[in-house]
Amino acid sequence: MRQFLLFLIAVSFASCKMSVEEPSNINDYKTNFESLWKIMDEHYCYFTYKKINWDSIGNVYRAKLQRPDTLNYVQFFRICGNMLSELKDGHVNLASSFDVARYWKWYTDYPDNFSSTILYSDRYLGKNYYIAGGFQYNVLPKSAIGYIYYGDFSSSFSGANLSYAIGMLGNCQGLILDVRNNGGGLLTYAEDIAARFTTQSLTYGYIRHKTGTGHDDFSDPIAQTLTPYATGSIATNWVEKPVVVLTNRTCYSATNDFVCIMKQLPNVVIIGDQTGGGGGLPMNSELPNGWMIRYSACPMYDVNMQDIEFGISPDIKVDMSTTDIAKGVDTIIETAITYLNQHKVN
Amino acid sequence: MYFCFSNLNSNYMRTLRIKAVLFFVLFSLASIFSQEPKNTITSRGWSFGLGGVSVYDEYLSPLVYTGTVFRADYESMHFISDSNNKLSLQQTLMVSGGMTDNVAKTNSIFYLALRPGIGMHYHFRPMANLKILVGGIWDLAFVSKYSFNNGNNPYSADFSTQINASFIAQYLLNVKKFPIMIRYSLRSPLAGVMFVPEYGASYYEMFTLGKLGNAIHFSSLHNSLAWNNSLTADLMLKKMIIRLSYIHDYEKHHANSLHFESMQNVFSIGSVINFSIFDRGKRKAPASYNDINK
Repeated sequence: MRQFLLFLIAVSFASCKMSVEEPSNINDYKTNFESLWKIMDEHYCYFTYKKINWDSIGNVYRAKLQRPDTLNYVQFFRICGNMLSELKDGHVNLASSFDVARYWKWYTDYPDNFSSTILYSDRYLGKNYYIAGGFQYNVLPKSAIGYIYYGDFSSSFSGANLSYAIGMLGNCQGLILDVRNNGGGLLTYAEDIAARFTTQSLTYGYIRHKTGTGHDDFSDPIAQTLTPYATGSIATNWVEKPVVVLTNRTCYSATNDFVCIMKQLPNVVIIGDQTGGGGGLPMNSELPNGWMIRYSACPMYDVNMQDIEFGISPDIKVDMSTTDIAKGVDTIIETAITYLNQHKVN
Repeated sequence: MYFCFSNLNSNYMRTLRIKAVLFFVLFSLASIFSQEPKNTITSRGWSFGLGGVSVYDEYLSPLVYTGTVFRADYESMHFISDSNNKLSLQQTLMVSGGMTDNVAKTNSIFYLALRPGIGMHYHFRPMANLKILVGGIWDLAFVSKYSFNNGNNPYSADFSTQINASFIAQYLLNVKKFPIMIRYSLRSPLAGVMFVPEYGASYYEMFTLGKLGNAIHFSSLHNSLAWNNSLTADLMLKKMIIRLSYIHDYEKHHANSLHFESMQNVFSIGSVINFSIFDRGKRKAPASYNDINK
């Protein structure tokens, strides 16, 4: 009996060890390359939509590693970063301790359509604007039009901040909500703001996620629903008077989602340039050497199940003209003012 | 330029409330069943330890994270009545937490585990000084892992409730008239229910949109395996009992094409108290009583 017990104890303690093993050399280039390729192959969500042959891309960049002894870690990082750039996705980054590989052509190839110098001039926001949470707001000079600038969806705000901003502009005939140069942040902030511009629940889009390692293994679409703030209370929700949302190519990620929501609302018009996109909710993983990889994981769609990865078109397309910029005039804001003056609610 | 799941919305709060109510009900039931009968000795022990932990959570990272874990264990055991010395009731509670790192030390995962349980054992006495206990334990396990660098998948929670097979062997060793109770215990889950997120599901979908999808799974030996081993030595001093333990917990499970694994090796020290409230608090010791240690 004693021998049996001792045997049982010995076996039970010794038999349990981690079945997942780390690579013997975490800095080996080929090991890390294959890990990166596999993570993307199994998790990235836009291969089919973007018609990307990941096997072929892998072979092209794998060939650059045939003589790893001739590479240093910076060169290896560049090879990995260049491979990821083939995805043309601003949500894809490789982050090491010395650099971040990124793809920025979704906005660098297009006009800025934004000038902070002009925005903060006395013609528009000036110097004495109000600040509530992440919102900068005021009534535009010599007009009855309210203006709110929100430049970062990571910039926190409370419900009270939003109530005061909207409430203090409540007597205005129309409202400009400027989200240009807003690169994204929290999805829930996008919904929190949009919830002030409706009194009815509505489905504004869909999201899916990978259910397996195959490029087309996706869940059924999950509806994204906007629930109005303080349903039935028109006093705190801006639903009767017109709203213009200003956009440019730097509107990305959560901002793209915000524009997707606002575009569904009947009293809202989008003016400016097409948004930059970024419709894939990103997730993170990492390579054996500790480099962090971020990738688009969950594709999002508008209410018609159209992918929003490449951006959302405005209702009224306007670019800032060089002539106006030279005069200190923001063409997009001026277009919005003209639109709101033409659509006053009596 | 990133999304991030965020704030507790109503769906998440609803889920949280359901969990809280469930937890409260289970603990209430446990406390009712654990009422000590009169004239029985109850053994209660606390131990605190330090050791190593390895964590593999494919939802958070494809790498194994290792680090130091602090652990506390509680155990209470007594016979179910003063006339029965074969069937005992046991309560257990394990709390452990620690910080783990990847091999390159570029990211950390905070690990926290909580596992209360209640079970029954049948006592065999095959030979002098040796007792074999065989039974089952029903437990709840909640393991929380937070990855500091991840954006929309920063958090992973393993939630499960399992029926475990339990085996305990204890031997009273006398070293020069100094009694030491050597005890080996092994617990392994047989069946239960566990929460595993879908392969690529974000917490935004699960807790903001309230779509858990195929996240609740029946667990058994085909997808869940655990060995909770411990070897303890109770040093019976004149006025107190010191408990020295080596604990080796290993657990792995998989579902939705995701694999999870963890292992703890902990050395701990604590004490054991044997007590009874004779005749419901009259403090008058009866002629005989039912001692869990015999």
